[in-house]
Amino acid sequence: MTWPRRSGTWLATRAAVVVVFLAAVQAGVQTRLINPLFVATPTTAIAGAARGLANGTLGGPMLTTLYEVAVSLVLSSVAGLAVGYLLWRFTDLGRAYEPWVAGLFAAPLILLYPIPLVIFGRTTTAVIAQATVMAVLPVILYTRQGLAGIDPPLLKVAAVYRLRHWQALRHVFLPAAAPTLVTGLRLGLIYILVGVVSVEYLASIGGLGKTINFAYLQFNMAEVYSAVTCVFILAAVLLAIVGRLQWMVRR
Amino acid sequence: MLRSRLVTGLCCAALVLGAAACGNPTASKPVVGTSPLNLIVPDSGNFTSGLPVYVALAQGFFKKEHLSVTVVNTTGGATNVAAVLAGKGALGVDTGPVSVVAANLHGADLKILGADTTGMDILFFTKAGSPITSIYGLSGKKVGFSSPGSSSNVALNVINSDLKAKGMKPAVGEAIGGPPMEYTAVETNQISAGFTAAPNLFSYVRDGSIRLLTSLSSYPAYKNVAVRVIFGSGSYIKSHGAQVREFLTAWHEAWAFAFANHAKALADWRNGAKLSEPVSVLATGFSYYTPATQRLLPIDGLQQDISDAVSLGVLKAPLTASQLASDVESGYAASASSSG
Repeated sequence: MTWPRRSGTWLATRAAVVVVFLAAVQAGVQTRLINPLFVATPTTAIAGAARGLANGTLGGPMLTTLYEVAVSLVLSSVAGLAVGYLLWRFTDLGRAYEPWVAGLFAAPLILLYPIPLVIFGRTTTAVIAQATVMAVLPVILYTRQGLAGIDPPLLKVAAVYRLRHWQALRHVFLPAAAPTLVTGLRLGLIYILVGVVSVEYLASIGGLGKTINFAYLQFNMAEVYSAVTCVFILAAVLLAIVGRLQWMVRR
Repeated sequence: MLRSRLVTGLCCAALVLGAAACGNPTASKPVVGTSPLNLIVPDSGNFTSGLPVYVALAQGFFKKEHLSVTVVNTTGGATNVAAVLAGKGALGVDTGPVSVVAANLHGADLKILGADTTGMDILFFTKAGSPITSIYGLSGKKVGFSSPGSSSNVALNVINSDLKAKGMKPAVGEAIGGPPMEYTAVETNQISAGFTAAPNLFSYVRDGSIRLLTSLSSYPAYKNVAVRVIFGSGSYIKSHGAQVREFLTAWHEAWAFAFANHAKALADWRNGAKLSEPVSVLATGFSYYTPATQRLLPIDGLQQDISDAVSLGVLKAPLTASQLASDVESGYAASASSSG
């Protein structure tokens, strides 16, 4: 099975929506229907992003953000998969704590950002901690859901072959639950991107979020939108990688 | 059953949305007058903005000038400028001139109308138990300021110049926010020192939980520099010249009243801004500020402000005299000072 090819029409439709939107913003700013003091033209933003990545003014912050995202993804994945497994393996534990995890997932956890600042100081560790807390919850929920949703015949197959629990987990349960698990990881990545950039912006720490905050406070909208473009690029690349992983798992 | 639940739910939602629409947590109710004016005030607990505003409201100086002023609070610094640009208010007070000039360089139409505070009044503090006993202890340490281009950013720049002159590592600036946030950050060891301005946080100075590292004499070169200004939207100033003059007149009168009647002014401020600090703590502001520091004119030292902005990276290049002159509109303040 190969990576699904997108049809020309499908790709053209997707590109057309983006191009029309960007052209509308460009025209709106140039004709001053949109106040240029608050919004930069897309051409300015894209050129600024390219220039910033080339000369390092945005490349450095982007690497910092990427580092925070990567570490948060590893931590939330490991912790989320482990806790999700435990909640599935021990039914009473799952019944007791899943509603709490689901409740926390629905809460605006970004408001807790001062707590990691107090614990870890104004460092990238605080940003990673906040993003990990936000991302671990969907990973836990989807892991438990994925394992709980395994077809009963597969459980019987594992029993028939007299597989030990860890063997069954490795060869039957995890492959069967993988599509749901990866969906949890993808959701976790989205929450990490939101958490990392938000805390960077709110607390003026770290990478692209801090750059956006400082540029905004200096009314340098060209730099604000250049950095926002970098955030979009980062998000698109990371989500594409996880999307590819999701496709590989579903093969 | 289902229908009645639906109706009850919709009624509750309507009540919540209605309450949310009616309430604006950052704005006070307008007072009676004829011309409405939304005024951007960084923090009502600041002596240099909260006191004159609430004195003018309580003593009727705005009303006398036919103004109905609504106070809109922000977190200070560049957020004041952003609030005026976004149309939340026509005039702003207690704002670093660098933020105004920076916005104009990016296409905004703002005018500096007069000085708000002349002379650097930023005081850096640390925890009482901290080993840091002077500004030289800040070398290489994290020190808070409010936002890029603010007066606290400039003050930290001055301290860093001192440290560099002695061959020491400069302090690392951290954009934290206003004095309450600085206090939290210092107390939780996020930063080694933060900033305040009298009498903000002076109850903690008095009880010994924080220790001041600087005083007004720490910045001799800034004695005659307007570190914060009053500014407004260019279009509003053009179309509402009379209201601008009336506002500045009321502002001037409020300060004159405050310096002549400390107790009444402090009571007006404390009640209006709903401050919890004792009057005796608020009164320390009068030890730091005088009619000279709170003068509207002249707006001294703007070139120094611009030079600081360049060294802080807020501006890319210094402004020419004509560029700077186009950002200033001091005629209204001159008229207000003479009439008030």
